[in-house]
Amino acid sequence: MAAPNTLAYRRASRVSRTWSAAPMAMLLFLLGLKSAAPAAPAPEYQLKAVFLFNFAQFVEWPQEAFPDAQTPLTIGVLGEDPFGAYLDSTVRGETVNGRSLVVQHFLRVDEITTCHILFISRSEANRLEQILSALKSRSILTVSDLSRFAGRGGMVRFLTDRNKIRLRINVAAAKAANLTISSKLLRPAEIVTTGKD
Amino acid sequence: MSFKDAPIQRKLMLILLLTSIAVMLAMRAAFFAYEFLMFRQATVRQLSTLGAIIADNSTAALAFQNQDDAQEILAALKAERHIVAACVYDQEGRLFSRYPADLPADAFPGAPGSDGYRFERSQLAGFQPVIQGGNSRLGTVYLKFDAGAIIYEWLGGSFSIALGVMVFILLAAYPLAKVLQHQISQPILALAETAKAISDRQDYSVRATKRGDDELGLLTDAFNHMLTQIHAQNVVLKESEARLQTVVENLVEGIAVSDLDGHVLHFNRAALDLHGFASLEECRRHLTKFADLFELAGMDGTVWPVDQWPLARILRGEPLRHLEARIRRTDADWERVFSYGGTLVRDASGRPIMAIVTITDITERKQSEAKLQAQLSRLDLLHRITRAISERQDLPSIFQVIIRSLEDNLPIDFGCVCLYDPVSQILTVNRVGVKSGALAMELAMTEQAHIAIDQNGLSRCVNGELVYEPDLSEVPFPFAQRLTRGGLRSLVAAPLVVESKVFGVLVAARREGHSFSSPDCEFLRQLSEQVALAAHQAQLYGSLQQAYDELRQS
Repeated sequence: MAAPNTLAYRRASRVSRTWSAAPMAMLLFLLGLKSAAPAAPAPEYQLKAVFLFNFAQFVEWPQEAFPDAQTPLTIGVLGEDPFGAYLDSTVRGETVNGRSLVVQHFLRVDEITTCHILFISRSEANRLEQILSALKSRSILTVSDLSRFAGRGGMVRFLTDRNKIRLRINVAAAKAANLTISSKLLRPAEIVTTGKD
Repeated sequence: MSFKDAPIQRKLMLILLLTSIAVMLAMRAAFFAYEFLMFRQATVRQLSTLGAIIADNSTAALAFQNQDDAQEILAALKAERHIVAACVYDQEGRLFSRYPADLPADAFPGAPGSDGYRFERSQLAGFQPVIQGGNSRLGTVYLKFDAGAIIYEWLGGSFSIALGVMVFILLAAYPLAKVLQHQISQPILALAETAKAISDRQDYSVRATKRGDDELGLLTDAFNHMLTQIHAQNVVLKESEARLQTVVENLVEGIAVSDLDGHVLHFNRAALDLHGFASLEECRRHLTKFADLFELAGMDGTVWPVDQWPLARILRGEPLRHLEARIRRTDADWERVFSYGGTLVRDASGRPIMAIVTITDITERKQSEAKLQAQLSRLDLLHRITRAISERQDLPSIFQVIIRSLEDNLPIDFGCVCLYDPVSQILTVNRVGVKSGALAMELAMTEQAHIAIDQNGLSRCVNGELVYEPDLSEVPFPFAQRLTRGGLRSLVAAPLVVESKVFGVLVAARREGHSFSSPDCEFLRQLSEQVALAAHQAQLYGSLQQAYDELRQS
């Protein structure tokens, strides 16, 4: 199991290829215990945090999404945060296309002011339709691991398949939000349309 | 045949062709090096392009951990068969995907190395970063390209083209060189041809043909000028040689020329005649071979070994003047006295080159000298005898003095004086020489012995004639035979004449045949006249003495 202090120890190792434990990392985790996460997040979220960060590289936002060149790229988490410290440590100090990254937590959809990538937590499952419709006209890449997320009008869904995280993307929804998803991102992903997932 | 000895035409051809080959090779090598460098650069460029494409395509696969996708992207490399291995490493440097998929993981580098491509032998391999946009690195692409086959293919092609071009150029250059080399070789060959003709025929009037005003033209001019000079010098030389030849051939003195080893090279006419040779061929032999024909001896009669011969002494560096020697041909009855001179001939630097011997025949001079000497000594003898007998009054003592003197000084082997009685026609031996005594006993010609006068030489002698028998053994008369048996061979009998009457005979004989020369005979004739006169005076003196005694008694 990769641990947060492993990430701190080694900046580069943000991506864990499998979820199988790295014994060394475990050992460091047990000895170090520097970061005190309130609740230990599921390890798959470490990878999902990296994926969220990587989306920033493969998606193009319309110009109006960034008022000026210094505007940071905001990754938002709506609802209960499953990432713990993973997301923060992933984006810390990183830049994408010259922009720094910030992580923001939202409890309700109407709190969202500036946001470019929004992870919708499982806690919001019941309010999903409302959330999606509220975000409809905004250039926000919506990501979630809720089932049938993409089919229901979300843009990117994390899908766990044989211990691997797969992507299911609703290109039409993204296009409607004025977002351009790189064809490269589409290569390893499965493309769906609204109503089919 | 080494290159040095090859004909000049072949040399020129070889030089031209070798030069073209060398130039071609140098050019080819330069091109080859350039092409090789270009090829490598192109290969690197190609591979890095390919790597960039793979890297660019692999960003999402790496970013979203899709190994299948990464594998699929790499699988596209099979279109380039020279890529033998390729792989993608993730951000941590772990092997993420590989190509070919069935290649074991240890066939790839354990971790990505520094970016860029490097040749290792014929393989080009390298690492390329995987970056999306200008963002942080997602991973690394590794590519391994086997340039060997391509290089060999390209090398083969390059070589065969080079070879083809070379063969083509040589084929084109050969006839060109063949034609062009005539420019140089023809005048040289013409010169060589002329030089050969001259040396073969010794004809210096031939001239080489000039073709142009280049160095070869100058050479031809110089050559022709040299020929003119040689020709002129030759003419002068020939003239002077002919003059010298004429002089040498017409010298009375014999001249022999020999090389330093003692081989006789030349005899002039006089030398040939002196030695009794008919042609030059007979004299052209080594000094030692002359010993087969001739014997040389000093004037005292000592025979000289060959190394004491005049030529041998000259060859040893001894200049000779007036060396007199008796020379005798061993195959004939021929003896002469020669005076030798001579010296070594040296060249300008003082090195001896040959030997010259001059030969003068001094036989006649020597003979006349000897003759003169003999005459002088005989005159002296006559004088002494005359003086001796004038001191004596009695006949026996006069005869004794004469015979003794003859035995000692002429000399003779046997001498006696016989008195002649014209009535009985008998010769009575009156006096025998002291040295002839033993022989006289043997011949029964002791004093008072009688000798009969037969039809032999004695009868002529008693008639007043001087008789010379050069070879007694051929005279068939008893007296001559008697002397022959005693070992005598030649004889002179001189009559002692007073007032036209022969009263005695002076006999002189030698063991050797033909040993009385005409001066000897003449001397004996004069002596016999003196003796006769003295005898006559002695007789007169005796008669006078007797008359005086008778007168005193009466």
